[in-house]
Amino acid sequence: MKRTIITLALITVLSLALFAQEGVYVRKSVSSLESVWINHAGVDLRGEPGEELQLDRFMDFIKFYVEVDRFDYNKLPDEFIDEFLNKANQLTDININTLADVVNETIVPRVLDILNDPDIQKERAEGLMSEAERRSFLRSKAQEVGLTFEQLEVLFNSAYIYLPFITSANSEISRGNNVFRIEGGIIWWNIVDDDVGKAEVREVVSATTRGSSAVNPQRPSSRRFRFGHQVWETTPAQHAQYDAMLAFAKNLGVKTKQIDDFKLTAPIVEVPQPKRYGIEMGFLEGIHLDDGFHIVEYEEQDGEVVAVRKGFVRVAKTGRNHEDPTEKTYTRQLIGRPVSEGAILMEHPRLGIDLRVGAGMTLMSNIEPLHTQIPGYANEGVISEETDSQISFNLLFSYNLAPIIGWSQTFISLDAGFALPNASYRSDADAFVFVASPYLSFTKKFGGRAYFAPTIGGGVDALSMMGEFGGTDFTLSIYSPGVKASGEIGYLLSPDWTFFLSAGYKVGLEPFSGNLDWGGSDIPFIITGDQYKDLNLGGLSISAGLSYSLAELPWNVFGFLDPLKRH
Amino acid sequence: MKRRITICITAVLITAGAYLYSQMPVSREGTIVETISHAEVMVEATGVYHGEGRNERAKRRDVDDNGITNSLIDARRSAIYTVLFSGTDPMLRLPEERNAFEGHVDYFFDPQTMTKYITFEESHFQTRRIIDGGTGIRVSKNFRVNKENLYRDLVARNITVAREDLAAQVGNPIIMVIPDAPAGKNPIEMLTTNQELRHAASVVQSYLTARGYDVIVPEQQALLADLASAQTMISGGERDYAYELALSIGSDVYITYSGSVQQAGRGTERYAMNVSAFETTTARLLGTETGYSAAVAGAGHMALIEDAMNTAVDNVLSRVMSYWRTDLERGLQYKIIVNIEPHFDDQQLDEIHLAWMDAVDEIAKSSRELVLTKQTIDYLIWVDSNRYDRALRVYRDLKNAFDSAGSDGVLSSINMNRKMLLLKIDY
Repeated sequence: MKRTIITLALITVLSLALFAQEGVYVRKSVSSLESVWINHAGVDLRGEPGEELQLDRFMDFIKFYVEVDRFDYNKLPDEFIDEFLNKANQLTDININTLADVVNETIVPRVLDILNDPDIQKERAEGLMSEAERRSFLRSKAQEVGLTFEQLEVLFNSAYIYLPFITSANSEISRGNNVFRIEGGIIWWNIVDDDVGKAEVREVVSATTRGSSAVNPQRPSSRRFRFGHQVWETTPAQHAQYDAMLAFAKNLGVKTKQIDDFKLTAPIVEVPQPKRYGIEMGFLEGIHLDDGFHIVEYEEQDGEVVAVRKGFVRVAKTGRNHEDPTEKTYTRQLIGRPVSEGAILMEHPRLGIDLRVGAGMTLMSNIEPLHTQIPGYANEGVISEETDSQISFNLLFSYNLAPIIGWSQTFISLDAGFALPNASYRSDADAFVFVASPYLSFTKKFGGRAYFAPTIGGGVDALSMMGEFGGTDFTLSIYSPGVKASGEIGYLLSPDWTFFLSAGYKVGLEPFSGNLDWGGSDIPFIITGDQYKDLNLGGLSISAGLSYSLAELPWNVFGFLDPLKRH
Repeated sequence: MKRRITICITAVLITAGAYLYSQMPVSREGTIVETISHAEVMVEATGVYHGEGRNERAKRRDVDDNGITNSLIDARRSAIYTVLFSGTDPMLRLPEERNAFEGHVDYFFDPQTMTKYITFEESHFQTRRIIDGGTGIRVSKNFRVNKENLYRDLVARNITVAREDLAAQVGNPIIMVIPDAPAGKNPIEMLTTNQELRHAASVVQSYLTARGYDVIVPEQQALLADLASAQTMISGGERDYAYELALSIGSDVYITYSGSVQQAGRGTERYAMNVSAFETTTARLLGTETGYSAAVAGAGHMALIEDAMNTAVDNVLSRVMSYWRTDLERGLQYKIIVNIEPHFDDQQLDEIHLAWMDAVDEIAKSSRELVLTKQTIDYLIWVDSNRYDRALRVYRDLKNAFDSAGSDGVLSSINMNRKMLLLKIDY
């Protein structure tokens, strides 16, 4: 397997570190190699113009999701990156170990030079001081005091280098869609410096993930890709790449945050009221509204100190410590008994997307045999009796808007509903009837571990039939707009799992169009006449289900909203 | 009835004892991590709380509800306990002081009172551990303890003697501060030429004057010539400039210091300051301590010197005070060097020696003979401080007593100060 290193545009970064007390996150200084390691044998692209790997965009997404606020960045001059790339590209056998050797040789001394710069150390001094040190003799007497040995130890041993890699990337046309898949990961090295002339990198972790996307080239939206306030003109193939790369980078961002060295931790310094905790962290570390943290206490057990999880909190107000260093972030405890000052909050990194699966019944709808006829082909319906109920299933991807709009636990959801009419089929029918309901909905949760959540949404219900008639395969869909409102009560079973019960009412409006695929011929039509006048795909729905907070998702769901987080 | 009264009294005593005991810190663990100024030290102290309740569950619940509050109170008590009792130089060194303190435990360790002594408490814990299967908690934190406030309360409650009271009796000790010069080198010259040594002297001076001591940093070689000749006669050895200076100036105690910069890794520098205190009259070492500054890059030596000196001098000073109190009980100390003219015969010398001994016995509470030769007498005497508030009175009575003893010698003075009498006996 041949691997090569590809040079990318240079991005420069600086480093800082924070002094460590028990449970206090030590700010890490990070250097980017401004490169991505690609396994070319795993790259299989269609080769059409504009379909080559979009590495600039790939690095844009990597930098957005991986180079997060908890890190400070070392600027590595171009010539050192070039030196690294030249030597790496000359390797006959490229693997993590040989790459580490090249990094040791070319990059590590440069990072140490940067960390040794008195001006940079001076910049970092304030951040490295503990509260007691700020009040110590040296600090109060000698205003120009530099870093102490202990602080420099922290500074020099909290420097990291990362290199993303791609093990496979392929594109294809499938069912008329541009499909792109990417697999790979990220390598993190920690520079270990013993201050006696020996500094080398130690591999911290290699995390892997994947991303994929399918883009319908007929849709106008496939010609541009939006990411926050940025909009890029794209071909459908590029759009699919961007989409998959975004999902890939977002997953790597979460996996990076899950590395123990990088997890945000902070001791509780204030308990304004039971189950409300203040920590000395905030926007400076990239904390956002609704971010989850485990409560951890250190216990002595059989002479050893072990960290024990005591509960779970969610950020209720993010501290604006980038403006006022004394401002705290306040959290609300959802799980566990109240704890006191000094207990540690440890980040529980997630995507901010919940996957919800529910099942239930829809009542008071109306589907008659008439509605299951094939217009122009069959005069009898697929079902033999009228029904007012459906057995329903729902799959939702709920994206938490809280960091964007500032309202805790407010979600926008892509709701894929699927229902089976509770009716008998005609004995000679060779078809299957179902209702597909893609909806977009908004939910606001109120409460804590137990909550109530109203939801409103709108979308389309499609009464669909698939089967065979007279030896011809067919698919028929009758589209009916709908709006729904529901209420949900739920209970947090664990930080990630939630059980919920939901009841709501969907107003199913009159169908407006249909589509018939008859023997491979696509025949769209406008609904006229009275055939579907009484069709009602709405009604009263009740369901129960589970929700899971995702840490990884190979598809991009609402990723364009991520750069808008500001709360 | 009698039995009931006995039971009541016993119950009250047990309750009072338990209350007092409950005010004492449970952990009593603490370390002074930094001397911030003459008045304040930073202490890392540990507090422990064991949950109360009928069973494990109740104890765990108690720790959940009250553990942190009570363990923090215990940590604060431990911080104060550390300053009062622990380490090599606690505030309460003498057994009588410690005994006296026992009656005031409830006051000093009361949470309300402690706010007077603890002027800063770090918001972060150094460590926080759940112990004993959740039925206990142990925390440690940094506290800034104001020793001066503590000292004032100790004095107010007659647990320790006020420096002012000592001063009222015989005056605070006069302390001379001088660099520790290598053999053959003159410390005064070093002081005038070396900026860092001068800065160190000023740090000690500032530290001691803030506590009400009289401090002398000698800048001229006053009276050294006379003393040098007398000293040479006694010892014949190499000159000890610091000792001679202290004697000539008349300080009670002299402090010498020396320091050096050490490379502490990663380009940081640490200053090590060695400070020693001596009894002036005998050059006896009272205490020596090395203080280290934090290892810092780019702080400048002056700040490091001050940091290191603060730590060292604080510890040495408590030993000086301990010596001073003990010595005061014996009386006021004088060193007397008598130069006997060489033309006395052996019989006359015998008479002079005996007359001298009688004279000393007459005026001194106690004395110690250091040297007695045909040419020199070197004595330490302790006199009643109420009767002898100055050297001239000592000299007057000593001369009268000596003259009345009837030897052929006549006692006269060469020079004198509040610590030393330099005399001669002639025809």
